[in-house]
Amino acid sequence: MARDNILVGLEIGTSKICAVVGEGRDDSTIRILGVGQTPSRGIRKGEIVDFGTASQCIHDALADAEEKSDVEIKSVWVAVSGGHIQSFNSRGATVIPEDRGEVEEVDLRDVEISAKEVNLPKENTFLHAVIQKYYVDGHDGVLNPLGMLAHRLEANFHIVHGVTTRIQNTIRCIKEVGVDVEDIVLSSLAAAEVVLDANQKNLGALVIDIGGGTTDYIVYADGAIQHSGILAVGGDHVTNDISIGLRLPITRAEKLKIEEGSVEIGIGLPGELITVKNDSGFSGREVELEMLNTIIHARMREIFEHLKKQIDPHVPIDMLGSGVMITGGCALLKGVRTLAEEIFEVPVHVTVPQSVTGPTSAFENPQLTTAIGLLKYGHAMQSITTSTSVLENLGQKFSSLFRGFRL
Amino acid sequence: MIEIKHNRIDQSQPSRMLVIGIGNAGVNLADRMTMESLPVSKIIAVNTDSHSLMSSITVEKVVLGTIAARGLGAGGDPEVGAKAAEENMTEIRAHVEGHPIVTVCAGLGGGTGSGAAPLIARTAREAGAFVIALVTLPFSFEGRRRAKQTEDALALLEKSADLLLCFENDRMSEITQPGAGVEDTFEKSDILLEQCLKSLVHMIELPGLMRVSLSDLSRLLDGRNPRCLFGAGESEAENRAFDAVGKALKCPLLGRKLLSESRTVIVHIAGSSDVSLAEIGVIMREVEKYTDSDAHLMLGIGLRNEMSPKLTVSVLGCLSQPVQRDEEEEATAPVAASANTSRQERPAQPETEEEEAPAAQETGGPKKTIPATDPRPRRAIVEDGKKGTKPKQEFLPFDSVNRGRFEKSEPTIVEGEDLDVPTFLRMKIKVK
Repeated sequence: MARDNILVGLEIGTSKICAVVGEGRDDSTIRILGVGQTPSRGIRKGEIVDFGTASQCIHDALADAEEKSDVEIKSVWVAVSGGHIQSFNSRGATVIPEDRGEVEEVDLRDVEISAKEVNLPKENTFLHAVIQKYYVDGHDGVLNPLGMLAHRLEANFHIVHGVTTRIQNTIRCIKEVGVDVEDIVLSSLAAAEVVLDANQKNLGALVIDIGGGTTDYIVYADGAIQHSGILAVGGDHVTNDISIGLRLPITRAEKLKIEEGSVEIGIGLPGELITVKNDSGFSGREVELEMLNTIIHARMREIFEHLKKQIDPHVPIDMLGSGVMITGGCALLKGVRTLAEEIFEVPVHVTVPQSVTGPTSAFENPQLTTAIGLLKYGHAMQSITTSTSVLENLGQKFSSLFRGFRL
Repeated sequence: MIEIKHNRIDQSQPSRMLVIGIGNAGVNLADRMTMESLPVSKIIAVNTDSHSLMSSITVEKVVLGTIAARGLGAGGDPEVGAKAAEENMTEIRAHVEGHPIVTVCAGLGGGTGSGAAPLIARTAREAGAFVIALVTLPFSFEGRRRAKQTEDALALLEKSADLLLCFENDRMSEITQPGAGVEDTFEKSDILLEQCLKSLVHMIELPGLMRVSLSDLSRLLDGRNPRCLFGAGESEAENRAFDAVGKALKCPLLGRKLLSESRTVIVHIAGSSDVSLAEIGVIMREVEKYTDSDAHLMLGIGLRNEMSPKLTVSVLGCLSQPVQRDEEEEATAPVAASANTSRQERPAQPETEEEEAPAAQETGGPKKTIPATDPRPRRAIVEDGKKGTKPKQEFLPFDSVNRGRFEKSEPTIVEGEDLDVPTFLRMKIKVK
């Protein structure tokens, strides 16, 4: 079988590293061929802290994916996250030369460059500049100004930037394994690609990806990104809270969270106990279910409240027509939806990746949302670049990308 | 105690520094210093533009070149600036007279700053003062002409100043948020420069156990490139030593990469008497990380007479490459030669003996021979410090917070709360 359009998404998460191999089809759907996963070590809050171990884990995950999909992995799309990543909106403007009068490719590039002329902290580099909307001669609502007659072209961009060295470290860690990096993608952007369809992006939606070490969020409205951010708190914190609160080893706490825990309080019988089985180095104990849930509830409520506080000033959440989508490993916690609905006061869905085909066990898992999203992002990017001059565009993008890194 | 008496004598000394702000940028900076009441003996605003001087709040003002520039400014031409300065040189000389330290502040690239500052620096030097030049360099987008004028002015200043500190305006973006207003940005950079100068004043003038005296400085800088790297940081937080030295090392006047090229690095720590030895250790170890292993590290400790927990760390790095200033200077500025030779008479030590040099230097100095305050090579000094700054029992912070597995990772602090600490603990929810 000719598998020429192979895409690989790699998410280096705090709790696990997963690599998804997929095949991009012409109708812009993705067929998943295989998923490789390893529990990750050497990663804290979405950032690499132990280079060697992390590199080994990446290797294992990729090897696992190769084996399952029967594909040799040459290059990957990588999701990045971490508390250092920040974003803001910026407006760029350019004047179309009088003698031309028509918007061309070069003007779109110019307007992007002008939007990027902002003071970034010296140690930071641009990750994305995503177009929000164009204004042609002051009129907004233009989706594609190419070929239009105009004097002035302006555009709003959503700009994402992060600390150069930390992003570089991720890339180096992957290159260590002998695999190329196609591009780096903000993980919430990748997740949204696969969770939201065009209609939902237009109506407005908030995607929350609660992973192990970070909670990434992104807000879409009017078909474009309005806001994004990362809170370096995630499922690991829930586990840590349980471990401290109930005085259990981390591994036990994790198991308890997954098997017994719930975000909702007041659902257990008063005094209901659960037995934590004994294990080597740990004598079994009984803990009160209500206590467990209280701890989880407090943490999750805090996460959601922080998100609300951070997003509401930019985009009022209750104006989002499609509501809130929750994904990521923590979406599997029982009762997350109820709590989120209580706080955000809009319909909340716990979602899994959409519009992909393949083994259902692969994509019906919110833990894989970002990795699968990378495939969709990569596929979309490829179709953009093939429609225009591939090599020129790509070359430019990467040279500028790596020029940025060398700084 | 003899020591305390000695400190008191020093404390009563008024500051010996004169600050001259030249040109628009210089006047702005002089205004800022007046506003923040920088502890110096006098601040003078000097400009060719009488209008800008009128709105300045500085007490002492000198209008340069009422003939050459007609009080209208130099129009971006350094020659006009230089001519204007020559016109009023007698007046400037009268101001400079009797000040052992003169700081010249200017924004280079324009007319007055680039033209007048080198001349005024030379005049001050001829009058026997130790000249510090604190200049800002224009933005790269200001064009090639201004860059060229800046280069010329810098070359002149290198010859006439003892200590040259440059702040590149391009690095302004580092001290503000992306998207900050222009006014805000300029104000921040003025504040930064003002703070740097303040720390420099402290470094030279504060009485203390280990002083970095003027003679130390001039000997270290003699015959070298006067262009130095300077960083200052201040903190009163719980781990103030680490905090302050971190800030100092991140100071935009200091490039970390260049600090590693410095042959001599002076670290000055200013604080009230509660500065502990452990804190000094933290600071020195941190600085050591960023300096070359062969570099000569000098430590100075100054004591402020106030009971504030504030700790200021200043780092001054002297670049290694010596400039052939002496020959050049004699050729181009013969007048300056006399001042220069007087400098040469001081016991100059070969570089290899620098370790012992400050001690020899200081004992020859005019004041104090009390051993406990005698600057010596670093290791010896630290032992002295033990006697001076009573070794304090370090209090471990009472660890009421438990961060569990996130103990060693960078804390996630949102709105002043450490989110790594379990929510239920922070909310004081009772858990059995």
